[in-house]
Amino acid sequence: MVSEGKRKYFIKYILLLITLIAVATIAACLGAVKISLHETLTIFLSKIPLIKQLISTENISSTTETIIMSLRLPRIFMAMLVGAGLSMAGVVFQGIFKNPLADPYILGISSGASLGAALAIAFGSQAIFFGFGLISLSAFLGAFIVMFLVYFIAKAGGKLVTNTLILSGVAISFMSSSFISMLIIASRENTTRIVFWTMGSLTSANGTKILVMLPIIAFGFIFLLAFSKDINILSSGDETAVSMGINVNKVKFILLGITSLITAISVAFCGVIGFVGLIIPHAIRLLSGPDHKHLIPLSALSGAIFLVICDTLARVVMAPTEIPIGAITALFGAPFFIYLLIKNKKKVFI
Amino acid sequence: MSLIIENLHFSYGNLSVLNGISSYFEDSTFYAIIGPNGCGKSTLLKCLYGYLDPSSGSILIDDKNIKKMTHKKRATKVSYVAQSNDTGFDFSVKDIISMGRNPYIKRFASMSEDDIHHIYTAMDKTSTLAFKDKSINELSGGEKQRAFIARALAQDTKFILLDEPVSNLDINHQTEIMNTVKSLSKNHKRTIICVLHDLNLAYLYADFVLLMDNGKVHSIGKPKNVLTKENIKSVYKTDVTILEDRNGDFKFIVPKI
Repeated sequence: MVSEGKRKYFIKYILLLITLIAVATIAACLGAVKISLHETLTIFLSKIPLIKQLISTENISSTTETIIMSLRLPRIFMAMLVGAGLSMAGVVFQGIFKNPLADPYILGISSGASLGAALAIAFGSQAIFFGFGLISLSAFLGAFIVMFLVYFIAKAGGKLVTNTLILSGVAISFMSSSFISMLIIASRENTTRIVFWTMGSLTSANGTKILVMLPIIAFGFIFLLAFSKDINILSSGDETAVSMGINVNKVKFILLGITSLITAISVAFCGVIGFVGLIIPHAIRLLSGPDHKHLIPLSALSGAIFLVICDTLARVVMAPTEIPIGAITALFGAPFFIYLLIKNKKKVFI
Repeated sequence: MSLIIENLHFSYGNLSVLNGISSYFEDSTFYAIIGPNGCGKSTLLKCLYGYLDPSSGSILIDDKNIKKMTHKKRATKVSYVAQSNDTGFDFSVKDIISMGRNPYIKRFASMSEDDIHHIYTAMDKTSTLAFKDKSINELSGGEKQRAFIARALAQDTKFILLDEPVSNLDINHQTEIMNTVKSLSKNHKRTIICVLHDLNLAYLYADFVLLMDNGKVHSIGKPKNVLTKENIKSVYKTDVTILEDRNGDFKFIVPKI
């Protein structure tokens, strides 16, 4: 009985992994310059140790290789990392807040980052520090300031009350939005750039950013997974969770810290990509049940797949014009999610 | 094992709820805590399992202050069934009951044979085996309550605290739950500390009754000695008639209207 359940999950993981690789490969072929599947696969395989001796890259132009390796692949990796990160952050936010509308941005992290980015765009230069643009750094700083503000407002009464946390997040969000509106009015020549930044984009993906994100997402994943049992129990409410030996305040603090960090870094590098962190967790919960031990990894994988698809659509559909990825995630994700809701009449949240 | 409360005080901000409670709870005994709304019954329970931190006084289990124990350690001594249980997500009954084993399982480990044994024993004792694979949200009120009691039982603690476990149930399910809880103290060496509103249930099931008033212990003792007309009048401000059967071993408390 137990092994049957394990096999069921094992098959899901394998299927999702295969899908992820397939989607990434196809995504690498598509774009302004069409590259054949054969060429793409040859380039991929020629980068893998041991196998590369067997592969000849004679027929492939260096331009093609540059497009794949320097332009498309960083973007695809970035999409995977951000998709996985936002999805698992969404799972955890929904789990500890027990609120179906919770997503990685519920604590105002996105609006803090947006304000930071908007300030940098309005006043800043194109200065680069350690390979990062001023905009990314400022966005990250904005996200962090908001995170601490919200946390300390909610903590003011002694215990960390989740409703206060959400409401102070909403309040800070609105405040940041007002500042952004004022900035847009005050610095009209930058309006388009600010608005586009807030809609999210993976255009700026590069190796350095991936190297910064990868460890955060990887360690974040391991930590969240380590707390999956605790998140399951937290869904019974704080009172009951304490009686079962969970140090609720400490666990919530750790979980919020990790998820906020993941969210902050994602937003700082790629702007506000909405919907993925809200819908992927719900979809996986509908398809695979509420156990966070599987919900977290399955959501991470699905989020990665989903965002690679969305980013590819953003690049390809109106090429050479790019559609903001935030628009794509909702446009294509919402119908799929509505279909799931109707098909599975199971209750996700009670 | 013993549970001793010494001069416990607790307040929510300026509102003091517990004003110096001292008591001793014996092994394998069923205690009912009764008293008017707002007298501090639930607050006392929440202090006993460490959810609330008393402003002064101490709670000792086997001469050890529960404040000094880790969350997990404390959860191996005391379990708790809340008044209203949040179920959150669509977990199965077995998943919910398995959560009771949390204090015994290390972070990355999975359940041992022993854990599974405790889970099945708990389901057996509470007759929840039949619907173990159902979603907790599909159960009736009585079935749900049995599942939560099973979870506390799987936690394998000496002390089980229950906060009004039967107040939303019909007479049939009330008796069923109360019989289950009673058998835990009588046949399985658990100490039950159960907040009740229904004086007659307290009379029927409890070995000892702790009558609370205004955050203090008004009286403690055998039901027949505590649940008297005079005590009820003094604590609840209500006149009652106590009906007795001929042998005097069954009593029924009715308010005068």
